[in-house]
This record gives sequence, structure tokens and C-alpha cells, in this order.
Amino acid sequence: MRRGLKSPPGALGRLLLAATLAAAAPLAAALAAGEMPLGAVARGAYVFAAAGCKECHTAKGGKPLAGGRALKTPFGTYYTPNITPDPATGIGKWTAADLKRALRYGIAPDGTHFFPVFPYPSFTFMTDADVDDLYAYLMSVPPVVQRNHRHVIDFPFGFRFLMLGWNRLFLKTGPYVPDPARSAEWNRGAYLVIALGHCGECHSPRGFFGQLKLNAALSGNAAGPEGGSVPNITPDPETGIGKWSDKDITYLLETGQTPDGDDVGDGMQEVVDASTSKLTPADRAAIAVYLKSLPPIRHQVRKSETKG
Amino acid sequence: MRRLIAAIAGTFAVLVAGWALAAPQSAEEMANIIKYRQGLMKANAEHARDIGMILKGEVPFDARHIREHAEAILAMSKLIIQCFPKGSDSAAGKTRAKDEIWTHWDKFMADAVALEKETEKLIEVTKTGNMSDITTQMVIVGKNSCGDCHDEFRKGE
Repeated sequence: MRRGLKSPPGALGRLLLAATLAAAAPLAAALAAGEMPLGAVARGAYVFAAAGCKECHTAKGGKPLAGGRALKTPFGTYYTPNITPDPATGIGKWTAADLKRALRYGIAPDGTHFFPVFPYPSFTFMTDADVDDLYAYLMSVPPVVQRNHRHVIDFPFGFRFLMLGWNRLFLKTGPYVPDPARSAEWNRGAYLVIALGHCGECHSPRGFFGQLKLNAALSGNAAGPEGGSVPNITPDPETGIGKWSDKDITYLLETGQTPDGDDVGDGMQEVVDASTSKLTPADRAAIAVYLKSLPPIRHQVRKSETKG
Repeated sequence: MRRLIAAIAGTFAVLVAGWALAAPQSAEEMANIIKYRQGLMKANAEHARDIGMILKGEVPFDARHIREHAEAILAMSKLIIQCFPKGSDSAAGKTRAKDEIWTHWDKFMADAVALEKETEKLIEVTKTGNMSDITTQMVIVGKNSCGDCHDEFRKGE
């Protein structure tokens, strides 16, 4: 029975991994100059894919990672910044420590706070090693000169210092600490879901202040990004994915197709394209193991029409 | 002479087809068409699901089965355009079809043609029996044909 499964995702996974790595190839010049070790850039390319950075930091039809994508939220419209290594308009002047502080604490190199539309409450759980590799990769992509678009935020949420209080109340900082009572595969899955994949940013309901409701993590969000509802991915058999097999989960993450033969649809399709389809089959399997192990939460996400 | 007859017959066929498309249809007919096309779409989803079961290794079938499913999807894909006459919208019945279908009809038609083309490619690649290549093409069918059209023209649940 396994024969049919084993070869295609394996080969496809390798192909996609190779494609991911090939995307980093034009940067060989920087490497040849001895600026950074190749291993770090290649590993960073994988971290970058698993974290799905490209989706938000690239505008529709825009240059990769130059930012400018509008993210509409209940607090206003945020425009993602340029994360190419252009020194003037991007993050070219950032050090590895700057990136670590941004991801771990949501603080920019100039000391100001990011808004949590940037999912640092998830990325905070990244390991130091992954952040360092990601830094090596980001510094190796072609710089793009593109100024950041100002956010358009409703009063009074635009004051960045407010985030100090928000972080005190809601930010639980990482890095991820593996649970020794669980298998290595489970811990890898947890890390991919919680930290890199930042799945909860869309799949978990949010409270009044836009904070993730961690006691209801991954149980779905009726008011998801861009007006859509995001499904419950805890293993509740009725309202979640309790009836799905591990293969149903890994196949969806690889292909974007649901167990009933439908396509995942807009938002998740982007995630599949930029992120989960580029993971190794072993990592997709780890995600499935972790998701299936979660406490099932009964939460019927209200069916709502996506904006049309 | 034979050519003339063919030309006349051709013209006649075009006129009849045009009349059929333009003919006013009753509310009941519209509601029925919605029901009918939902069956067609459901059938395609079932075929896609079965292809998925094969690719996941949940059933012991091979590329030949996938080809037959793909043939079925191809056959259904050729009927899609006719299943969306003007007026078969949410005013006529319970449907997730967006009004954009009729305001962007050319794009909608292009999407339906894309489904045919990509499914034809899927049929071709099943002949190689290479499951990795089949998966790759199945992703394209699901994403670029089903997914893109649904994102544009189908309301969320």
C-alpha cells in the first residue's frame, strides 16, 4: 500500500526543495566573495519557505520581498515592508542580532515596536540557529530599492508605544523548548506549526485586542484575514479535521487539495505555494502528527461569504 | 454543391445554437440548471478525490485508473460553459456562483478552457506512469484550473 505513496511525494519533495535552493543560486556572487557560508544560505532558504515570508512581503505583481502588500485588519490597513537587503529602503543595514530582536520581541533596530500584524508572537519561538540561517538567506537575495508604504491605522491603534503594553499582556517569548516527553517528530511538527508556519495567526480566534486566544489555538477563525473564515484544524471530528488521516493532511499541504476533492481556496493556496509544498515530506508528516495530537476543540466556524 | 450545403447547414447550426442560448428561460429552468451543474462540479470533485486517494496510496490502483478519472473530468469540463447561462445566479437559486461570472464572461470561459487543456496534459502524463509527474500535473489542475476559477468566481462557504 505504501508503494504508491512513497515515491511521488518523495520525488516531488526533492524536486521542490531543489527548486527552492535553485532560487537562491543567483546569489552565488555574494557567496563567492566569502561573505557567508553556503550552508547557512541554503538552510535559510528552507527556513524562509517554511516561514512563508514571501507571501506577505511581496505585493501582487511586485518584486519579490520588496513589500507593499496591503493587509487589511480590524485596526487599519498595514503595508508590509521591504525585506530585501537594500541598505536605504530595505533591511540591508540590519545585523543578525537586529533580525533576532525583530522576530523574538517585535522590536525594530531603531527601538520602535512592530505591530503584531507581523507575526512575531509566532516567530518568537524560532530557534537562534534558524534565525541566523534566515538572516544569511535574506542578505543573499537581490536588493530592491522600494520605499515602504505608510500604514493607514485607525485611531488610537497607530501609536507604536502601545505595543509595549500589548507585549507585556500577550507576548509569550520563545525560543521553542522541545517537550522531552514527546517524540522528535512531534516536536518538529510543533515547531513547524507554532513557530515557522505561524499557522495560528490565521487559524486561531483572536480576542478584543487582536491577541491570539491561545486556549482555543487552531480552532478556526470566523473573521480571518481578507474577510474570509479560516477553518478549525484541531482534530474535532465534527467541526475540525478529526476524520482526516495523516495522509489527508500531508496531501493537502503538498498539493492544495482537500480530502473531498476540492481545492483549499485563496488564502491557504498561497500558503501551500509559498510554504508547505516546499517542505520535505518528513516535515509535512511531522505537521500531521502534531495536529492530530492536539486536544480536539469543538468550534464551528461560522460560514461566511468571502468578499467578492 | 456539397460545400454550399455544408455552409448552409453550418450557418443554420450557428443560428439554432444562438437562439438556444438567447432564448428566455423560466425561473424553474434556471433553478434546475443550478442543481444540474452542482452535480457536475460535485462529480469532478469526486474524481479529484479518487485521484488523490490513489496518489496517497490509500487504494492499490495505478496510473491507468487516474487516466480514466482524468478522462471523466475532461468530459465534464467541456460542459461547464453551457451550465452557466445568464440568469442562473443567486437570484435564481441557492448557488455560490458569483455575479462576476457574467460580468467577466471572457475570463470565465478562458478558465474553463484552461481546465480542459490542463486535464488533457494530465491524461498525457498518466501514460508515462510516472507518479511524481502525475502529482505535479494534478497540482496544476487543482490549483490553476479549479482553484483560480473558484477564487475568482465562487463565493466562500
